[in-house]
Order: sequence, then structure tokens, then C-alpha cells
Amino acid sequence: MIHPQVKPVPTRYRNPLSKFKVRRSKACQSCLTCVEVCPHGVHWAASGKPQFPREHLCHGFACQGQDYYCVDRCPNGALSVLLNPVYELLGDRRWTADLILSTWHMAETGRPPTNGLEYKIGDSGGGFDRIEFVFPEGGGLKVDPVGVSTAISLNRRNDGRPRLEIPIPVYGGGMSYGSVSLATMLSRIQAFAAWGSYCSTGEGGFPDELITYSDHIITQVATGLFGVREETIQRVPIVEFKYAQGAKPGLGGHLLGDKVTASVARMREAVAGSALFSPFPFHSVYSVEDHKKHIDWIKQINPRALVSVKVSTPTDVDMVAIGSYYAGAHIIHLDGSYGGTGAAPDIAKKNIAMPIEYAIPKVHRFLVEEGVRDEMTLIVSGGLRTAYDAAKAIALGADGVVTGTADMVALECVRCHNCESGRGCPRGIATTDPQLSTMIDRTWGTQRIINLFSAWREQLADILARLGLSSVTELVGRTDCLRHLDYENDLHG
Amino acid sequence: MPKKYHLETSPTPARHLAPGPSSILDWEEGCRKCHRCVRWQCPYGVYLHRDVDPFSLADTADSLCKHCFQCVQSCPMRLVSQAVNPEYTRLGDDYWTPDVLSRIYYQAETGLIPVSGAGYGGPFTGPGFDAMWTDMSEIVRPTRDGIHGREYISTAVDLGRKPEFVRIEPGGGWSETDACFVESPLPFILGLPQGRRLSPPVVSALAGAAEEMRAFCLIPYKYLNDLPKFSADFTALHLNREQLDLDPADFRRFPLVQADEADGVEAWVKRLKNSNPGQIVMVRLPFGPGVQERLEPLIQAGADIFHLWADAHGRQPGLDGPDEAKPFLKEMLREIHMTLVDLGLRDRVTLLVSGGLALAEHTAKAIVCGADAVVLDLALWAALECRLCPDCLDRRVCPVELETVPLDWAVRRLKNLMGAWRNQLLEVLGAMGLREIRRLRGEVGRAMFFEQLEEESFAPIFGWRKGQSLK
Repeated sequence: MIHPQVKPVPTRYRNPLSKFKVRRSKACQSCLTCVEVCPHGVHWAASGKPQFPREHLCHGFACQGQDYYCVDRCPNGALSVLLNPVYELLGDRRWTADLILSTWHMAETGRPPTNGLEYKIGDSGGGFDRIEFVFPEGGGLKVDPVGVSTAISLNRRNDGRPRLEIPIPVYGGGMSYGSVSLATMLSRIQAFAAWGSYCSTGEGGFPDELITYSDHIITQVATGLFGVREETIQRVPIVEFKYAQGAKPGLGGHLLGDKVTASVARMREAVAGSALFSPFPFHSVYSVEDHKKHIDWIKQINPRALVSVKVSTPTDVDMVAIGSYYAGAHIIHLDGSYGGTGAAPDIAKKNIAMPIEYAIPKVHRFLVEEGVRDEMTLIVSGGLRTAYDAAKAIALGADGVVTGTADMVALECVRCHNCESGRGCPRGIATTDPQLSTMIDRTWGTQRIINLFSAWREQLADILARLGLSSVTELVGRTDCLRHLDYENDLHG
Repeated sequence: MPKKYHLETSPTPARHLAPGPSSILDWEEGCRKCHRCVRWQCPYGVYLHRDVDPFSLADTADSLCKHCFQCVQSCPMRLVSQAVNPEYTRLGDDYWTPDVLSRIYYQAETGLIPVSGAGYGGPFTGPGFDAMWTDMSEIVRPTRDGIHGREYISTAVDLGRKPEFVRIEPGGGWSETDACFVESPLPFILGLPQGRRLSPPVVSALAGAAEEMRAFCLIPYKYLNDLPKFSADFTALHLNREQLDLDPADFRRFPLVQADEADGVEAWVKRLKNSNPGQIVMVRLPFGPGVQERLEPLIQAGADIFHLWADAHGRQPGLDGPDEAKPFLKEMLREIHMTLVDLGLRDRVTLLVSGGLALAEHTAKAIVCGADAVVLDLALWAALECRLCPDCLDRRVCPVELETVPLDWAVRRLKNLMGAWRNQLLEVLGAMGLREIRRLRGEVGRAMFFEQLEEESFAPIFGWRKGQSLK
């Protein structure tokens, strides 16, 4: 497959947020020395006058001591560089300011940043943030990254249903119409379609605007059964059963009344302005047998569909996974406890169920021991932020990953956590407010997400090439390629 | 159908402006006076409601701002910026962080549970309670009927000595073994923090809130005469060491009486039991090495409840050094719980814990580790806007004027916090598939511990954890 083209897509705001601030004082004589010396394109001029510096391109203090350091080269001492105070307010321990800024950079340029931003790990102090790859001695590329395959198959059961290969081991997680705007939904779906991958509708129905992309849509059947109809099940290649969501395991969904606008209500066959609950659990499922009945029902209605089962990560997640195998699912999708949400009680987000890093090796190992690993596609999500997180998840035992928050960040989400309040997202992403949702142009959004995954693919191919692997499928379960910084990493010692 | 417990909450605004995480910096110099200034475009209207707080002289915009940075990113002259607010970072301490306190203020003000969008943003794990997660049950959930069944989950606990078995009389009748207990609809007892100034208005508020919630509060003996009105029915009287000689007959009207561990406390317990047979006797002990040996003799003397206390950070009291070096409540509590189980005495007594309980989840986790219920202290103070100044006892002026809290306002703030916490307990109980909190006690099977998860998932991959290779 030909990968979609990267096109530069700048921020939709006038002033990009940046790690550094470049100040120009009144002493500036417009000599334009800074424009000449800066190799990063921070300084620029129009009509002979220096303009506001492009601070997001600045390498900051890393330039100190170099002969192109604008602060030292300015003959009038008019320039100064400092850490942007806003940078210190941006992000959190999981999604650090660096991760947000570098994701924006990738969405803008399609390449990982080169200005010193940490784009591989966050600052959570555990899990992925303490695990790193061990590359073979000598470094460098062991195989040519151009020939490396990042494709995976979503159906490994040989049951006569389509194999559905995706060229990147990533598809889009469920974000419902209602929790996000139609423009956001379409941006994601169009981007995943351009990549030849899939994107889930979440539990909020299947707006008509999506029908064009049906071949790349996963439709969700969740406990509230909002917007689930026979025809929506029949028009898609993958149907996802959502048992639980990592951010709020065991609690069900909750769309606050403010976000239930007339169009959302119509889609969900509900009343505008009244909060909507998806109950927990499926009241028709109290055993693996009940679960199989559900899957059989979908398979009967749509003979070409694959069935994915999305669950969160309780202690017995391995038993749930094997149950799904025997019930006939093609994909078992684990959503870890630090995963995204449009609204969840903070107590649930922090405390209920285990982080995905623990669940992956546990389930992978169990499926191997049970002799069914080769027939299942193990997909994971819940707090995966970077291409490196995705690669580590695969090395721990997953086949591929699902993203959600990373796509939102590509659309310039700042993780202010206010998706749920009042009119919804102030940046127009997770909102159905008629005014706020015009802030996203879907062509802009689509290309931003295409670019992000282009940068991810490049990094994945690079990791594989450095490990000497020619396909991402060879990385699955290769825990010997990983090291945990808090461990001795010596199994024989 | 039995009547369900309901805790009424009502919005109760703060009396003092609490600092927000950031300060807005907007300069006038160089301003072009655009026709549509970015500040008036704020989706939350922060700049329209902006004022100077007359008490703290702080900019109210700093507390209203929700950090979407649109103004910062849109001003054509780049004149709007934001920075970390030092007033905010100075709130509380390492354990009672600005974030923890802000959450309490929010809950006490609104009675709502904190809900937010986007995933958890905190550290992967942490010391103390942050090194455990509660479990959920994925598919098979016979105990609960979805979100609408939440009102069927009980948070009631028994305080005191419950009947252990039923005795069949020779004549065919039956009787229970001696028991004395009360039921509290909440697993929270309203207590008093150590090292903080107490005042009659605050103690009155605790008593008032306890009565309205039909829960219990601890009232020190010396305040009895200062309280304008309170109901003895919801009071646990606290006696200090000097007050053990008082005549027990004088406080028969209180369902519970607590005394501190001291020499001769067993004799006091016996005397009280003889004088007031139906009264529930609590002994408060600090967590520490000697506690294990004290449990059995105190039970023999007649103690019904142990109230084990840790310091304000949930650590063993009386030790020097950094917090990380001191034993934490959850491990100490699990040990005591198991000791009582091994002695066959666990159901003879009620275990209460206090210290370091700052979030609703801490209650659930303490109960998982073996407590029947918790005694709250600093969290209640924070509900009344306490900023946790480190020098509370030496300070002349309380920045939030705790000594003059209006009774009605304070009662509502306390009820709001307890209501929000109770609702959060319902969330985790629901996720666990438990229908009552009594069944959560000591249920470590419904929790996952950091050490256990690391060992199960990571040890087979990465070997020994650093520093633990000899274990």
C-alpha cells in the first residue's frame, strides 16, 4: 500500500505554544543578524523588520556556546531566551509538556521533533516510562527501514472471514458522537481510512456523514445500545463489543446533559438535555456462554464482520481473554486503567483496574500457555502516548494498539481535562456545542492525524530496523528486547 | 422495600478565595486595543467575571481559569501569558498536596464527586495508598444491577462488639452472646486532628453534621459545656489520660466513649463496662511496634473498638526521618488485621483508623486493608477551608478564620464532603460488584498491590527489582 502523503499543517492558533520564549527588547536595530544566524528558522523578517520569533522551533539553551546563538550574536544585546512560563503549566506526569509539544510537532510536520523535546517517554515514573529498548551492540540499523513491514492482520482465526490487514499496527479507539464533535470524528476516521486502517465510532450511533467511510469503520455495541441498528452492524467490517472502558472500569458511560444536543439526542434516540447513562454491565451477559450468544448474533447479522471484544483490566483479565477466544472473538482489546475518557470520576480513573503494562504480558503469556495465542489478535490501549509506547506494548506481547488521546493531542488538545464541563472542550475538539465545534476544520484535522501516524510509522520502522527485525509481527512478545530501569534485567542472576 | 439512606448535599460557596494553579499575566503596554480582544473571547468568560478578591487581594481570574490557553495563543501582540501560581504551590505539604486540598474544597463546596475528561494524568504509582488499585469484575456481576442499582449499595458499618453466635436455651428458646454495637450509615467517624487548633464552633459543626447524617463524631470532654446544642446519641466522647478518673456514670448517655492508651487503661475499661454495661468502649492507640501485644489484653478487659492512629501522612507516629523510611498505614493495618484474624478475635472488635486519609479512595483502601471504618480529621478541617498552615498552633491569625465558622455553613460543607466521598465509595463498590461496604473489610482479593503486580507481570521478564534481590 502507498502510505498517505505528509503535508505540513501548522497550528490553528496565531501563537504556537513553545518550550522557550524569545524576547526582543527595544534595543533591536533591525539589523537582522539573528535572521542570518539562526539555523532553525526561529527568526524571520518581513519588509526588513524582524517579526515575532517562531518560538516553537527554538532549541533554547542547547544553542548556548554555538556560534549561531542569537542571544550572543545580537550586536545590540536585544535578545534573550527563557523557559516559557506557560510550558510549566502544560501537561501532566503522563502527558508531559514535552510529549504534548512533540505530538503537535509530529502532527504539523509528520516527523519526530529534532529540537530536543522528549518525545519517547513521559514522567509517570513507572510502566512504559521506565522501560526502554535494548538495541544490539554497535548500534545502527541492522536492516533497511524502507523494507520493514509494520503491517498486522486483525483476523488470525482462519474462519473464512476476511483477514483485514492494516499497514500500521494502530487503529482508532471509540469516541462517540456526542463526546466529540462530528468534525473531530470525521478527522479521525478519514485519517485512519487514508492509512488503510480502521476507527471505532464509540457508543453514540453512526451519523450519516460517516457512511462514505463505512469500509474503515468499527462500530461499537456497548451496554446502552445507543444508535445500534441492524443496518449499522451490516455496513462495517468490524464490530466491537465494549464491555468496559479502562478509564472507568465497571462504571458504564455517562454523557452529561449539556452535551446531549438535539442532534446527539436524535442519533441516540434519546431526549435532548438529559444525561445519558450506559449501564454496566451488559444485562444480558453474565457468563461466557451469554457472551458467545452475543458474538454469534453479530456474526449472524453480518457474515463478513470481525468481532472485537473490548474489556478493561481486572485481576482476572487473562480469564476474560480466554473466554472471549472460546466465544469466537477475533480481537481481544484490553483497555488499561490509565486510558482516556470524555468524562469519568477521578476516583475511577486513578484507582480501578490495572495499568495496561501489567495486563499485556499477563494475557499474552496466558494465551500462549493455552495454545491459542496464534489465533487471537491482541490489541491494547489505555495510556499509550507515543510510537515508543506502542512498540513497547508490542514487545510485551500485543499485536497492535489503539489510540484515542494521541489523536486528540494531534488536534491540539492541551489536556486541560475539561471535556465534560458545560459546553465541552474549549478548543473545539470534544464538544457538540454548535459554536465551539466550528473550531476544527476536518481537512486540517485529517491531515494532522495522518502526519502523526506517519511520524509513528517512521519511528516504528526505525526501532525494528535497529533491532534487526523485518516485520512488526516479529516483535510481538520479544521481551528480551526490553529493559526495565528499576530491575536488574538479569533472569539468570 | 426498606428506606434507603440519603445524604443531602447543597452548594455552599467558600468564604475565602482559594488560590488557583496559575496566574494570568496580561500586559497593557503595547496593546493594540483590538476591537475583539482575545480576553473577551474566553469560552469560560473568565475575564468578564474578573475582580480583585478583597480579602486576599488575589486576581479572581486565577481561580476561574481552566487552562485552555486560548488567550495565550491568540493575542496578536503576545501580551497574555500564564505562570505557575506560587500561592498555589505553597498550599498544604507533600502529602496534602495543593491538588488534594483543591479537590476537598471543591467537594465541600458542591457536594459533587470530582469528574473530569481525559485519562489519569498522575504518576504511575507512588508511596502509600498510591501503590494499590481496587479491582473490578468484568462480566459476571451477580450483585449489582448497573448504574441505576447504586442506591442498593450500603455504606453502613457496625461499631462495637457484634454477637458472635446464638445460644440455644435448654427450653428451646435462644439468646445472643453479649454484644453492644451501633450502626453508622457511613464508614466515616468525624474526628479531630492532632496539632491543630480546636474551637467550639468547629466542634459544634462536627456534632451538628454527625447528627444530621446520623453518623458519629468524637467530642473531647472539655468541650461538652461549650457546645450550644448537640445530640449525645451521635457522640463518641473522648477522654484524655487525666480524665480517666471521672465517674463513668456521668456519661452514660453517650453510646461510645474513647480513651487513649495509657497505663491502667484496662482497669478503666473494666470500670466503665461495670458501670455502663451497654456502652461501647473505644481505645485509641498509636500504630507502632507494641500494638500487637496490646490487642488481646484490651479485648479481655472489654474493649470493643480499637482506634489506631497514624500521623497526618499515614505514617507510624513518633519516628524521625523522611516519610519513606517510616512504615505506612496500609501495611501496619494489614498486619494488625491479620493478627486479630489469627487470634480468632477479629469479629470481637471493630478496627478504626485515622491519619493520612485525604481522599475518598483512601477510605476504600483502608477498609480493604482491614479497617471496619475510618476516623477523619484533617480532611474535615480542609472542608472548612483549612489551608494546613504548618504553624497552626503558633499562628495568631487563621487565614480562613476557622474560629468563627458559621454553624450552618460548616455543617453543610461537612455534609457535602461526606456526601461526595460516600458517592465515590459507591462507585468503587459498584465496580467491584459489592453490595455493602461491610464485605469489603480485609478483602485484599478485591485489590491489586503494586508489589504483587510487578512480581506477576514484570519479574518473569526483567528478573529482580533493584535492591530486592536478596528477598
